Amino acid sequence: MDEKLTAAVVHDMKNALGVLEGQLAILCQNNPEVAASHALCTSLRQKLIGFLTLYKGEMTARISDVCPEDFLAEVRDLVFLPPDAPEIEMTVSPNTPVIWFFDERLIQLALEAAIQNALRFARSRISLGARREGDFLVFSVRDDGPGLGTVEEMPSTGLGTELCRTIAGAHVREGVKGHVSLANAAEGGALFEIWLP
Amino acid sequence: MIKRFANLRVLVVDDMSAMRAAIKVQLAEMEIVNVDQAGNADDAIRMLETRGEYDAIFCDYNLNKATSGQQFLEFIKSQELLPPNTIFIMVTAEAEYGSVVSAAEFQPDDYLLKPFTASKIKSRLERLIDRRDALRPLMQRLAKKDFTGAVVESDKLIKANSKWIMEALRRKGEAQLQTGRHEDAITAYQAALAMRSDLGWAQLGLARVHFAAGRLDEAGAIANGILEQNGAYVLVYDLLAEIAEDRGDFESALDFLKQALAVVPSARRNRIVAEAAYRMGNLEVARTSFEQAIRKTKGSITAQATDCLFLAQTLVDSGEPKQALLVLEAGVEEFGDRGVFAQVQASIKAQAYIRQDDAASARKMLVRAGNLIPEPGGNLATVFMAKALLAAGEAEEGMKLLDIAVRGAPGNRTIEGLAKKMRRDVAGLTRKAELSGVA
Repeated sequence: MDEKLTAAVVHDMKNALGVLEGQLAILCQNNPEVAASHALCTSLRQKLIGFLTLYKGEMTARISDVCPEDFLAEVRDLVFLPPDAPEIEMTVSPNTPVIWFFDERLIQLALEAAIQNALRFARSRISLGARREGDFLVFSVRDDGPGLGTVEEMPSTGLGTELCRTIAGAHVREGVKGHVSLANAAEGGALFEIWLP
Repeated sequence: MIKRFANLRVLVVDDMSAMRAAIKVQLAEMEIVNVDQAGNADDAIRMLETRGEYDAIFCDYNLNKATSGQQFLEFIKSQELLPPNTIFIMVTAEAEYGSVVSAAEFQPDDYLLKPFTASKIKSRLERLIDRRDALRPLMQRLAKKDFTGAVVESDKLIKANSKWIMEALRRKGEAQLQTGRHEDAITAYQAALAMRSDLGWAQLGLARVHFAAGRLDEAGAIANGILEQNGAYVLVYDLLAEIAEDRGDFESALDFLKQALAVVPSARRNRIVAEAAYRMGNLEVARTSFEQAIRKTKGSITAQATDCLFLAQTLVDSGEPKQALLVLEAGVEEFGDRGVFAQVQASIKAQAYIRQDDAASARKMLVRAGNLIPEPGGNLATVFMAKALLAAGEAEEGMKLLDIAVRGAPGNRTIEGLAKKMRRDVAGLTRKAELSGVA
C-alpha cells in the first residue's frame, strides 16, 4: 500500500476518533457507564499518534533543559485513566538532577504508552520513577501485576514497545544513544525503563 | 492553587470562533474569566496596544491566509508589542507540529498541541508562570538594558542551582557580550556547554563573542560546526553572513542570507536578504527580494513602509525613476504620507527627479525633506536625506549627514552598512568622472 495513503488514512481516523472522544467526554458527565468507552477511544487515538510518530520516518529529538521531577508530575497528572484504574504513585530519587536534556513531547509519548501497557497488568498501583544512573537519566514505569512470563529481553508487544525504543534511540549525547528495557522488578511486577544519555 | 489563576488576563487569538469559545470554557474551569478574544492578527494587535499587559496569549498557528500565528508572533516581537512577562503559547495541530517548530525563528514560550484538555492547559500554565516568576527580575533588567544588573540576577539563579540555570547562563552570556566583557561571556557559555556540549544556542553565543572580539576565523569555525548538527538554525546563517560582510565577501554574505530564507521563507527573511543585497550593491536581488516581502505582507498588518521605500530607492539606483515614483504612490495609499514614510519619500522623490533631469522638482523635494526631518540623527530618514544630497551634488552636506547618522546609531548594521555603501558609491562616481575627464 502506498505510504502516503496509509499515513493519510490513519491521520483521518485519528481525527475522527478525536471527535468521537470529545462527544464521549460530554456523555460521560451524566452517564458513568460511557467512561470505559471514552477511555478506550482515548487509548486508540494515542496509539494512532504513536503510529504516525513512528511512521514519519527519521525521528529527531528536539532537546531542551527540563526538570525531570516537574515533567514526571505532569505526565502523572495528565495521563488518561479509565474509571477503575489503579493508583499512580511517583518516586523521584534524591540523586535525580535538577535538569536534564531531552525532548519532552517524545518522552511523554513514550511514558504514556508504557503506562497504558502497565494498566493492562497492574493490580492496585503503578509507580513512576526517576533516578540518575551514571551518565543516564532513567524514567521507570512499574506495575504490580504478574510480571513478564518467560524471560525475554524485549518481548514484542508491538507498537508501544517499538515507539519507546525509537524515541529512546533518537536521544543521543556525544555518540551515546538512549535505550529501553523491560524486566521483572525485584519487588514483583513488570518494570519498564527508558534510559536517556 | 486555583487562586493563582483567577487574576490572570488572557488573550485568545483564533480565526474560528468555536475554538476561541472552547478555550474560554476551559480557562473558566480554572476560574480565569478575564479573557479577551481576537479573530485575526489585526484585532489582536489593537488589543495588545490598547488593553494593557496580558499574562498569557493563546494563538492558533493557522490564523488566516494573510497572517499565520508565526508571522503574528514575529511581528509583535520585532515591534516590541509583546511585553517580556507575557507568556506566548502557540496552538498547533499534531500533524503540523514538526514543520511549525523547525521553521520557527521566533520561539513562543510553549506549544500546545490540539486536542487538549483543561487539565493540560492548567499544568502548562502552572509551569510557565513558575518560570516567568522565577525569571522576572532577570528579564526586567534585560528589558531596561541594565546588563550589569542582569548579570547579578543570573548569578543568583546559577548559584542556587535552580531549574532555570540554563536560561540564566544564556542571558548572562548575552548580557556580558553586550557590555563587552568577552571573557566573562565565554565563561558563561562554556559552563552551559559543560553540561551539554551540543547546545546550539551556547555554541552560537560562543561564536558571537569571538566575532565581537574580532576573531572571525574562530567564529566562522564554530558557526559551521553548528550547521553540521542543525542546518535549520537560521541565526547561524546570519552570523556567517555578518562575518563574510566584514571580510568584504559580499557574495558569500548574500548566499548565507539566502540559505536562511530557504529555511524560513518569511517576509522578514526576504527583507533581510533585500536590505543586505541593497547595501552590498546587488540591485537585482534587492529588487526581487523587496518585491517578495511586499507581496507576502500585502493587506496584512505586518506590511512595512520601509519595504516600499527601499524598493523605490533600489529602482532609482537602477535607473528606473518612473517605476520608483509609481511604487511610492502605491506606498502613500497603504501607509499614508506621514511620519518616517513622508520624510524618506521626499528624499527618494528628489533623486527620482534628478534622474529625470527635473532640477526644479528635485530642489522642491529636497527642501521638503529638510523641513520634515526635525533633527538629523541615527535613523533611516537621515541616511536617505544624505543620499539625496549626494545625488544633488552636495557632497559635503551629504557626507556630514552620513557621519551624524552613523554616530547616532552605534552598532546598527543597516545604517552602518548603508553609510558605507554610499561612501563607496561616491568614491566610485568620482573615480569614474576622473576617468572620463569630466572632473
